[in-house]
Amino acid sequence: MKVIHVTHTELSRDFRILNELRSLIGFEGLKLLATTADKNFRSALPDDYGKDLGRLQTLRLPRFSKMGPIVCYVLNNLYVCIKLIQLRPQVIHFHDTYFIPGIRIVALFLRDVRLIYDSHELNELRASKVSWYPLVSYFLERLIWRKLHSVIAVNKGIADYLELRHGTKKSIEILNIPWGYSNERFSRLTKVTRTKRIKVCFVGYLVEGRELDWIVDFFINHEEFDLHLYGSGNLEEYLEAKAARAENITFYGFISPEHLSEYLMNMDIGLCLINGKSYSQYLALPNKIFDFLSSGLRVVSYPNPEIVRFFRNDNRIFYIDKDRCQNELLSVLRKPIKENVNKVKEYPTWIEQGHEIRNLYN
Amino acid sequence: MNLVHVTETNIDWDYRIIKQLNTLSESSLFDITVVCSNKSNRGVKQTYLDEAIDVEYVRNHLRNKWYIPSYVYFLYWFVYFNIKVFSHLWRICPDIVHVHDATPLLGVRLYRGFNNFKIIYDAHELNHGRLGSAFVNQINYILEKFAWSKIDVFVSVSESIIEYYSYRMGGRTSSLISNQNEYYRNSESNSVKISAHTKKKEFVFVGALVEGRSIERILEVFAKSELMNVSFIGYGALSALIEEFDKRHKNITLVGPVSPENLVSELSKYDCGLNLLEAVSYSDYLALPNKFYEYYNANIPQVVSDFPELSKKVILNKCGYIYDDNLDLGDFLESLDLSGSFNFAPLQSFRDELLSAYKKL
Repeated sequence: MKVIHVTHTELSRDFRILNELRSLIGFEGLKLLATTADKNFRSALPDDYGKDLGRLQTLRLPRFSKMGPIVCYVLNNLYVCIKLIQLRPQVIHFHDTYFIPGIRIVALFLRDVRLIYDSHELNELRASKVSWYPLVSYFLERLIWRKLHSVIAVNKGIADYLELRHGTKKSIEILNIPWGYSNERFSRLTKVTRTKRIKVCFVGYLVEGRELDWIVDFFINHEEFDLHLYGSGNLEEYLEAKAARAENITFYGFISPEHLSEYLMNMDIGLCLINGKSYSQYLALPNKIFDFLSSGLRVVSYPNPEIVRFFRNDNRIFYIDKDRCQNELLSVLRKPIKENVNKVKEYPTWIEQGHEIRNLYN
Repeated sequence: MNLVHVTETNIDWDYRIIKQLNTLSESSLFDITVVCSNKSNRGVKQTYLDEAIDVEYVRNHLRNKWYIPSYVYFLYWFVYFNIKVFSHLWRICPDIVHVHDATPLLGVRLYRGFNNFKIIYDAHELNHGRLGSAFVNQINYILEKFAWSKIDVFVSVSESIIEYYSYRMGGRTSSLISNQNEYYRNSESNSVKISAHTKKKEFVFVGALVEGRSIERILEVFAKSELMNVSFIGYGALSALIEEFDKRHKNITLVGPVSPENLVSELSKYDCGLNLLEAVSYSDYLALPNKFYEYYNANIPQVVSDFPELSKKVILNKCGYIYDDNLDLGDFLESLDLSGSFNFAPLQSFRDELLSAYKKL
């Protein structure tokens, strides 16, 4: 069975797609191909991914960017359309909405092809620099919906939204959990703090919508706690300048996912305060919570519905109210940390998720 | 301060609006007028309302005229009602207008072009994502988009709906006014339970007995069960169906409507409430129904559908169970341990929520 993953992104940086491919590569009878915008995919790939994805064939997308965005978009779609018709796959697993026009045309020629739409976020209501792009995403999803075999979403809230918006389709949730983390690791008991100083970390993009402004101010004013910032973004220099006089705040810059857990093992609490610009971010189930939990940290988060729903009964997560965030964060940080003795629920692994995706292909 | 509440509904049945009006009247901060429809063509002032509140009815002259096509009726009523709203506002010159749902937005927004006053927009549900006509939903969306820039405070019944509007329409000062009925909180922690006599798990469903509330499914499940009883409090289109099941099965009872002042004490006799919605629209999916608060105030746990707002409330308040649609409902209910410890700490009062919204103006 020939399966093509179609994406407009640089595949070497898209860990969701890489993990999906990694979970599928071992299945017999499956020939996997993937499009990529990488110039040199193999050299950009992290080592452990490179070993596992040796059999993966890639189709490099041509670079039309110098011709302007609209011409580039049309030509890319035409290119993918022609290539897909030539390759005649049994399954087209496409990610987000970029290539929907081309795939829709392919569906006219390849009547038996199975189309699977993998929505990495709520495209219709996502933050975008181009204000009309979310609206276009809605119409693109509408265009392809009837031809879809099934839908993959990152969480239940997005899956339900798409179903209510466009109509019922078989759907599954494939979470953005880190690769290689078993249930045993997720169930790891949170450790007792060995030092007197609580170490709090923030992981991710240092951009707006992550509450970094008041977080840094908070730790400047509360020197009893340490803040460790992992990530990079357009706020990095600004935050660094702001925190220059505070000895309890440290910047580490970008850490690759495969090395992140080594740093997190030394932390006590992870911050996941998403107050984003889009409904898609509001419905998000951030990867970093899985990173934190699997490294034995407690997590502080806003009570966004998907986070609360998914992590119900997991008492390693503390929720703080947006309107009283600073006071509530202070009381959480001052709470004595004891070893967590309650059994936590089981979370899916990539092995299980790989089987779920494989079942969609049959 | 002159305050006008505008609603297209007949406020006879809209307890949310009646509660708001009475609470605001008690505060003595406002001279209150309500502009509403009088679909029953009665000219009688509502006895539920405080005496100090003036009511201006907009009479529906074309009601029940069978020869008028529905689209003509809809257009006529929409235009006529908004003209009457505009004329009432012109006469009253309010300082604040509190608009309920999308229909009156046209008249209010047009009047806003002539006079400077504050607008509170109160969405009782996700108006452009409701069950029903896609055309009506689209009209509501256009009205909300048209008026949005002039809205000073946005109010709704659940945080998820507020967040959705905020991202969909643009950021606005917003406030939550829930559908709770604070006056009838059960202060007695030791109500006598029916199950003490029956020795079975006693479930209760309260609310409108209509489609979209999983009532048919509940009836099928309890018809096959010998370990659980269920009672239905309320009335609606499915009352006759429930009555049929009541006659055929001893463990299913149609109690009928119960007055608001007796509701909480009635509910407290049961072991668990049922709050199972069907996702027939995105509005229903994000909803936080009145019955959540009714069960909560009665200090009984509840079983809720796995919808964002409902499940979030149950998880954060530790006041019930979440039902996953993939499981068998009968097995799930039979396996519940209703003796577990639940938390029914008082929530922020309705009065505080309402006045907090007005303070944001």
